[in-house]
Amino acid sequence: MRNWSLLFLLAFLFSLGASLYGPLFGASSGWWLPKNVSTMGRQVDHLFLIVFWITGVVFVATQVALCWAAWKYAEAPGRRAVYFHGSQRLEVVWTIIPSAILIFIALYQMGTWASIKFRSQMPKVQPIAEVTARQFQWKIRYPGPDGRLHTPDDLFAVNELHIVKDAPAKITLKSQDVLHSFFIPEMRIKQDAVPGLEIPVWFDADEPRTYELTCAELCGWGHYKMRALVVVHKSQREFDDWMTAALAEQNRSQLKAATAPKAGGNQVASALEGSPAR
Amino acid sequence: MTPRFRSALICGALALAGCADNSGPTAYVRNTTLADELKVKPAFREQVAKVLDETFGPSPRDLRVPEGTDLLMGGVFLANTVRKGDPNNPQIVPIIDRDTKQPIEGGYALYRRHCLHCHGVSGDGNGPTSEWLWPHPRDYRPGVFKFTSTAAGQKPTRADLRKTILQGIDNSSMPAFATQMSRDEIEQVLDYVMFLSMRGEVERRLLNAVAGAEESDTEALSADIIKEETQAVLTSWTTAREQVVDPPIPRSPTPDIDGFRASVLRGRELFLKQDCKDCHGTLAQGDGGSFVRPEISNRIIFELAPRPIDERVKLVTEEQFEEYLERSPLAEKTGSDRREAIEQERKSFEEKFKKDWENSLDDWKQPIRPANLNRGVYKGGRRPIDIFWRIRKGINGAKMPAHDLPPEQIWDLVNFVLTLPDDPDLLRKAPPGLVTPTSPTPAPSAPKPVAQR
Repeated sequence: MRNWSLLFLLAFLFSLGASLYGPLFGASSGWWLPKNVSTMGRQVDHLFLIVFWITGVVFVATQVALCWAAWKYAEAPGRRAVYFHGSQRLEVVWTIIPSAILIFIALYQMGTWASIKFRSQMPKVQPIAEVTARQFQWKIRYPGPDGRLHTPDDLFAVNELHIVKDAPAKITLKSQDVLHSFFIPEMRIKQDAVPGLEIPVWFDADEPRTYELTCAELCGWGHYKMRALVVVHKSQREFDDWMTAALAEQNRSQLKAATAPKAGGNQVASALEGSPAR
Repeated sequence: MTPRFRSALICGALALAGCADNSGPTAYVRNTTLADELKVKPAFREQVAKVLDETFGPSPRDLRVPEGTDLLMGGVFLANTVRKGDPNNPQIVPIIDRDTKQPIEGGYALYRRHCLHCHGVSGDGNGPTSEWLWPHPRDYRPGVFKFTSTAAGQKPTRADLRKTILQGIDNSSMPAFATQMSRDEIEQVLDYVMFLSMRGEVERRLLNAVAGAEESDTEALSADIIKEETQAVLTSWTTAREQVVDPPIPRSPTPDIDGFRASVLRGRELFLKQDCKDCHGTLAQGDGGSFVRPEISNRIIFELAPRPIDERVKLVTEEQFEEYLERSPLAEKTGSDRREAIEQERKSFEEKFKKDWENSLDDWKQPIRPANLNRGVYKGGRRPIDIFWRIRKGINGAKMPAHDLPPEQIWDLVNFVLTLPDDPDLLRKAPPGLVTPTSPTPAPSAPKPVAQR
C-alpha cells in the first residue's frame, strides 16, 4: 500500500504547479487577478498575497509531511502496529501556531477593511449615483446638474455606470428584490446589495477605460445577464459632456431635435458651452 | 450486489445522465389555440402549416424569407449560412462579418441563446421560463407591439424594437441587452424577432381566412388569398416608418421655464377631468374602478400561482362571493327560499365578476393593470417624447386608449406625469372641485368601456 503515498504526492505536485502558475506567469495567462486599478486595491492585493503565501507555505509543509509519513510508515511484512496516547506538547504547538497566524491576519487587515467599508472612513464626497440592483439589471440614477439625488433633474440609466479617473466614486447601493452583489474585479470592490438597506460603496480607478460590473451573488435564472459597464472618464469635463448628452436624450421631446438644457450656471451648462458641436 | 452488477448499474446511470437532454431539435409550434377558437377544420390546419413551411421555412434551422420584407439585405442575417446558386443544387455559404471577417452567429442562434427561454421557439411567449413571469413575455404572433412611435395600432419601427432590446422594459422581466450583445448582433436578433412576428401573423390571418370553412371548400385557401394575406402582413411592416408620430411642437413649457408649474396644474386638471382617473385612480396609484381591485389582481396573479389561471379566477370568484354574501341582506334571510335566492345571486355575481376580470385582460388575454404613476416607472421609456406617444397613441394591445388632444394639452399631461413622482401631494391635496363628482371614489369593480377616440 506504499504506492498510495505516490498518489498523494502527485496530487500535491499538481496543486502546487497550478497555484504557482498564476503568480509566476499570471500576467499573460489569465490565471491570475486582473490588473488592479484602484487605490484600495493595492492593499487588498497585498493582503491577498500575504494570505496566499502563508497558506502556501503551510500547504507545502503539511503535504510534504503527509507524503513522507505515508511512505515511511506504510504497511510492511513483519511490522506491528503500536498504540500510544499522543503528544500533548505537539498538540499545543499546532494549536498555538495557527491561532497566532489567524490573529495576526485578523489584526493586520483591520485598517484596510475599515478604510474600504466603514462609513466614517470613506472619502467625504457626494454619491456619484444610486445603484439599484434588480432581477436582472443594474438601475443607475445620477444626481444630475444640481448634484442632489431624488430631484426632478436626475439622470436615469441602465447597466451603465460612469465615473471619473482618480476621483473617489461613492455610490449608494440598493436592491429592489433579492440579494445581489456589486463586483468590479479590476477595482477589487465587492459588496452585497441587500433589500431594505442603503449601503454606501466607494472605489476609484487610475486608468480611463471601460470595465465590467457583474453580479457576484446567484440571484435567479437571469443572474448571468446582470452585466454592466463601468466607464472611467479621463476628466471631469469628459464626464460632464457625457452627462450633458445623456440628459439631452432623456429630455428629448421631438424626433428631430433634442432639447438641450438651458444655461443655469452649473457644470453641465458650462461643459455644454465649451464642447465642440455635435 | 455483485461487483459486476454494481459497475453495470453505474455505467447505466452515467448513460442515462448523458441523454437527459432529449428535447430534440427545436421546432416551430402551431397556433392550435387560435385554430381551436376559430373551429378550423383539420385539413385546413395542415394546409396552413404547409403554406407557412413553404413561405418561412419548415424549421428554425431551415428558414425561407418571402420577397418584400423589410429585413436587412433580404434577411441574410437571420442565420449563419445562406443558400446560393442553383436552387436544386445550392451551395451553402457562411455569412462573414464585413468588419471582423468572422462568421456571424445569425439572428436565430442569438435568439435561441438570449430570447427563446421566455419568448419561445415560435415567438409565442411560451418559453420554459415564461410560466414564472408577470408581465407575461410578449407573444409576437399577433403582430402587435406595445411601445411604438407609429400611429395607434400600427407596427413598430425598427428603432422602436431596437430601443426595447437595448434598454429593456422597466419593471418587467425584459432585460436590457445593450451590454449582452454587440450592436450588430442586436440587429440580427431584431431581424429574427420581426421574422417570427411576420410568420405568426401570416399564420393568424390564414387561420382566420379558413375559420368555419367546410373541408369541401377548395377556394377557402386559394393562392390569391395566401398571397394577399402574406403581402398585407409584409406591407404593414414596410409602411410603419412612414407613420411615425413626431410631436408637432416640442415639449412646452420645459421645467426650467416659469410657466412650468401652471402647465403641471393644467395637466392635473386634465388627468382628473379626462378618463385617466377611471383606470389610474384618483391618486394615480393604478387602482381606478375600470379594473378589478389591485388586491384581487394580486391574489390571482401571484398568491394563487402556480395553479392554472382559470382555477385561480374561479377560486377568487368564490371568495369574493362569500365576502359579498356576508354584507348582503341575504345573510339574514332564512327559510326555504334562501338557498334559491343565494344561487340566483351567485350566478349574477359570477357573471359580473367574469366580465370585470375579462375587462382587466389585454389583447393577449393576460392580466394587466394601469400604471401607478407615483412610482416614476415608465415601461415604454421616460423621455417626454415616450410619454407623449403613450398618451397620444395609447398602448397597442393594452387598455390604454389613444387621446386625440391638442399637443399643448398632451404636453401639460406629460409635465404632470413626470412631476407626480417627485410631488405626490399634487393629487393627494388636489382641490376637491377638480375631481368630477360623477365618481369621486369609483365603485370597486364597475365595468366601463375603455376605448375612447
